[in-house]
Amino acid sequence: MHEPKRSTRREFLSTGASTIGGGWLALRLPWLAALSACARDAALNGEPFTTLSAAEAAAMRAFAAQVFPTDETPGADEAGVVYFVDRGLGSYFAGMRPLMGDGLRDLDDRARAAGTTSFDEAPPERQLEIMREVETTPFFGTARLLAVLGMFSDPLHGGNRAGAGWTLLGMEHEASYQPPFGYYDAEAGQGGAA
Amino acid sequence: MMRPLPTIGAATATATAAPSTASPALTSAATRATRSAAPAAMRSYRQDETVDFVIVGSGAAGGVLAKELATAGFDVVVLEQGPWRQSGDFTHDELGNWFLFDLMPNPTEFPQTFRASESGQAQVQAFPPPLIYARGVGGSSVHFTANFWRFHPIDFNERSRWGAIEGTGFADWPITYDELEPYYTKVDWEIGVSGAPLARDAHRSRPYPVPPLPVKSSGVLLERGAAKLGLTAEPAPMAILSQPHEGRAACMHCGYCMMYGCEFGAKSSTLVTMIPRAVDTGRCEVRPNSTAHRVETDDAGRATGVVYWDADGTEQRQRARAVVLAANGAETTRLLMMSGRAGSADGLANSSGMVGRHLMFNGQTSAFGLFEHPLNEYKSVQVTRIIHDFYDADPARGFYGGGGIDARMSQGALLFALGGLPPDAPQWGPEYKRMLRDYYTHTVEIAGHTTSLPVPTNSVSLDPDAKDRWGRPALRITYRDHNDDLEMMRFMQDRSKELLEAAGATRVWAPPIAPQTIGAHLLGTARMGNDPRTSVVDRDHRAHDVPNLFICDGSSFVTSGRGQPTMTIQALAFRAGERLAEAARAGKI
Repeated sequence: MHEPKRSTRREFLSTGASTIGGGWLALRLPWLAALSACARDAALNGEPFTTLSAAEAAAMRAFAAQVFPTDETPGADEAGVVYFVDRGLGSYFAGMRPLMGDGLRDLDDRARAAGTTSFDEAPPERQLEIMREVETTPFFGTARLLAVLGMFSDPLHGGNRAGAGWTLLGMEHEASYQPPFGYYDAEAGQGGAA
Repeated sequence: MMRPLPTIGAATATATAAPSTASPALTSAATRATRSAAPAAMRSYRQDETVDFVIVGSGAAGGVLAKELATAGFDVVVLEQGPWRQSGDFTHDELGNWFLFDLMPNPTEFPQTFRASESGQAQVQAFPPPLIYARGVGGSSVHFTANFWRFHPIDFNERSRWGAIEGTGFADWPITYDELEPYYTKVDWEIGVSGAPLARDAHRSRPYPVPPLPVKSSGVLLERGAAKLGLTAEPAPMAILSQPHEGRAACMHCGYCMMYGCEFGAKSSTLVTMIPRAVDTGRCEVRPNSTAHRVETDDAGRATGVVYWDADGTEQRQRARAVVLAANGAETTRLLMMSGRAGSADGLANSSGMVGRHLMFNGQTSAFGLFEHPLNEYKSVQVTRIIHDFYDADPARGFYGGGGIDARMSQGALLFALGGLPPDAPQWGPEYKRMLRDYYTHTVEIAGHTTSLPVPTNSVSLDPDAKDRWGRPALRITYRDHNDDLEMMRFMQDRSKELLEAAGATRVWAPPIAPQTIGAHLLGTARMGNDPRTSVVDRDHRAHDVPNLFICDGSSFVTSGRGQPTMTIQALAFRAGERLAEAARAGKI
């Protein structure tokens, strides 16, 4: 009997986002914005977290809401990104758990150093300052990766609730389509098979 | 050396049935698509039974070979390392298919290592891994994009036309386009290809079975750009059905093709074309979850069978009169390297030292353009129009190379949000969010697909340290694009940017060209040739060193073509199937 090493069927990488190549995670200068406190309350609607502590969940929610703030279109709060992250860090992204735990705690530490109780409770301008302070860290790249994945992955993974991310992108989310698909093929009048 | 196959007499009696006409097997493909497990009625062979052929791999080539050999009357066992999924198992889950390796070897279980040169120390490259391929019945034909160009006649004799290129194994193929043409046509009809004759195609003996898929906005814009620049954009041949064919349904334009399995069975993978027909002959057993790790040979140097681990990790051994490797350019290499007789570190069938060498990825380039109105490229198949004006190499460019162009959008929602915006775009915050909203449905990609020269130091080999979950040495990739390949990629990206401008893009951006570290085309690692000193298999895919070992997959390629290798892999497989059957019947195996 040859005993193969067992591993979880679906498991991402144990090394975190620092190994992700191809420029997919290139970090660039932030564009500043404010946070929607309303949406924050809606996002933490009392569903239990299975991996994140309450403090970690609050910090992660606030981080994701900085990546995808709620404005005239739905943001990370409406999409339930923090629930995706909670579930992911307990399964496929378990390897990122230590980096994420340290990084989220660091966000709170920085907020406390500025006199507020937590990153989540910090005023919007202070949150933005902290985001900029940590923007080039491995934690930031990983947390942003998770926020993006939570915004746009299939809702079966816990985020992108009601297809909020797809709606943001302007996608219809149907199982199939018929031509014409876009403006230019409709305009060309070649919707059917050539 | 040449021993007759004992069962060949029986095989000959049934071998005259023409497989290409309607047979009961063809009509069952659609219903088979919903099966949740291997067919209950499938023939099974005992381990100690010596079958005619054991085939390692059930993908683009292995599926065709299984169907051809079983239809010709031989007893066939196919070993597939991955599971037997059915069409209904496939999902639109971008995270699962792109990031969690639902269909691919997961790097945590099957690590791959990479280095840019033989002097470097290879490191595990986990995400994305260097080699992109699927595990499972149907192989990578399940998750591929289904671009399906034929090669042009010049692909087969380009060394003679262009001359030698230093530092490469640039060579002519031992076969010509004309020899392969009947088998390209078999692929068109038996696999199912949508298309219309192209102005620059070589002659074809039969039209396409079904018309091109409906043009997308990307295709219309490519036509506009091409017309302004004096180029020709033409309907893309695709292995995705535009109309029902051979009992399979037409494309529903869901948009989940590249890296996904097709839940409608409209993508012409071997999972829904060749494999069901092979099984329906009653002479083919497909064994999923069977990881081959050694081809066994006897003292006379003939292959006697294949040793593999079954799903439980129990070692099994399938005896066969002939062994066929069709496991892809990387897995075939590993299996050969692990099959050396005691004391041979070079592996099996490797007296030339060419096994694993001349790995070719094809160059892949992208340029992106923003347009005023929505294109909605997330819908339907990736590609509907292509340009072949730059296919042939041109000495006036100052370097060797050629390529094809298509228009599409490779990036789904996740990839686009992670890194698809122009380089000066913010990566978080309200402006990032606004740009995603404004760009995603309005962006098109012009993709270039170019030649890779056969460089002997570009290779697949066994990593000395890293192991996979079975304890097999990890695949070690050594790769650096030849400078001419990089020049060709730059040339193609420049043409792509011009096409976007000509088509009316309001903004154009492109990632810089750099040596590639990822490949989905695994070509050249057991190349065909007439000279046993410089090639691994002969023109009929028979290993020069082992008379009853045949190798047919991307590894057989002598040159890379201009991307889109699967059509040619399958044409080679149809031809190889016929040659193997002829040789077996003639007692020449």
